[in-house]
Amino acid sequence: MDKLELLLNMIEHPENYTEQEVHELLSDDDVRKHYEVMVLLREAFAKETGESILPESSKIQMAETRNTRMIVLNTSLRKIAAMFIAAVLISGLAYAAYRVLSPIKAPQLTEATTPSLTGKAGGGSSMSDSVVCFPDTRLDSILTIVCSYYGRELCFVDTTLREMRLFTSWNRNESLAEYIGTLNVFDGLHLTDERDTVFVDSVDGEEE
Amino acid sequence: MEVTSDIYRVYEQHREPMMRLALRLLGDSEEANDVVSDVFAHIVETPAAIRDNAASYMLSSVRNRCLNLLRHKRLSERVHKLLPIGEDMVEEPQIDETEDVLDAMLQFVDTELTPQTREVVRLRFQEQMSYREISTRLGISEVAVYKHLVQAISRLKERFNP
Repeated sequence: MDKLELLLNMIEHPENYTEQEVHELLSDDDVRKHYEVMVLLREAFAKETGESILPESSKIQMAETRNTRMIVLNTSLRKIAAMFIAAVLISGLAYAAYRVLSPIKAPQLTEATTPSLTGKAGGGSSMSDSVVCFPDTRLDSILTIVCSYYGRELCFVDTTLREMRLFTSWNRNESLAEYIGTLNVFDGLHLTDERDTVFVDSVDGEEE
Repeated sequence: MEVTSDIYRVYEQHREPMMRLALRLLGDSEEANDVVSDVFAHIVETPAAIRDNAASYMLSSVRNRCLNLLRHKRLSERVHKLLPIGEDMVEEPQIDETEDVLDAMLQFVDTELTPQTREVVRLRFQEQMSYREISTRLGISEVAVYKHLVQAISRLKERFNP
């Protein structure tokens, strides 16, 4: 590949070259002259296609009041819009980061706060008291209850899993590890119990 | 912002060449727009700066602001967009002379290149198509696209930048 072809390739695929390599090639006098011609050619075509015709937004609007002339520049609206959007994005990202990184404190578990719990049939037995059914319940609701029972914090690494709905049952006589094992059978779920916190993440679907 | 009608009249008179220059240097209409607005805002604040030759002052202001913007862009980004990479590539805005050169280049492309080479050049520099898109559009290999561009640019360089 000769130098001019290399220059053409560099222009087309800048991602394949370092700044240093670009700089070195353009230090060659002959290459630079070719590049200058290409810049002029781009400008020539831009001129021909009428890109130099002013866009509407660049015009200055002149508004006359009773005694004075006020000139309003509306050309910076895009700048202002860009700054606003950036501010919204940054604050949104900050909020999202806070929610992801802050473990959720599970509320105190009381009978009154668990309207979705249903005991197994056969009322009055200890078995019915210990088994809890979650019929089509959001995962974050399930785990809030379970974590609270075992004295664990809860943290969704993959926040989209909060909304996952499961039909599952939980035996309060079993250990947390056993129950986590039960939930990890579900496709796409990966729960771990570390440092007094249950972490909820997704799996990429690979079989163990 | 309160201005005199004189300043407004001067601005209106020179707005188009200012935009043309900014567009040529930056290749982006939004950025060009911002530069021209900034120059005008500066003039409104310091109208005495215009003094005698308003055209020259305004165009030089546009040129300098564009150079500042270009300096902040990475070299590879400037090369990718075929923007000037140094002050020596941005001459003082003697508009008539530069416009003549640009017109002459277009005429050269239209009259001195083969039809196929001319088409490749237009698709690349006017339509800003990638080499792959050009090869697909014209039914030629990417290698052939390179060859046509090499030929065209070499001849243009010989003629306009020896």
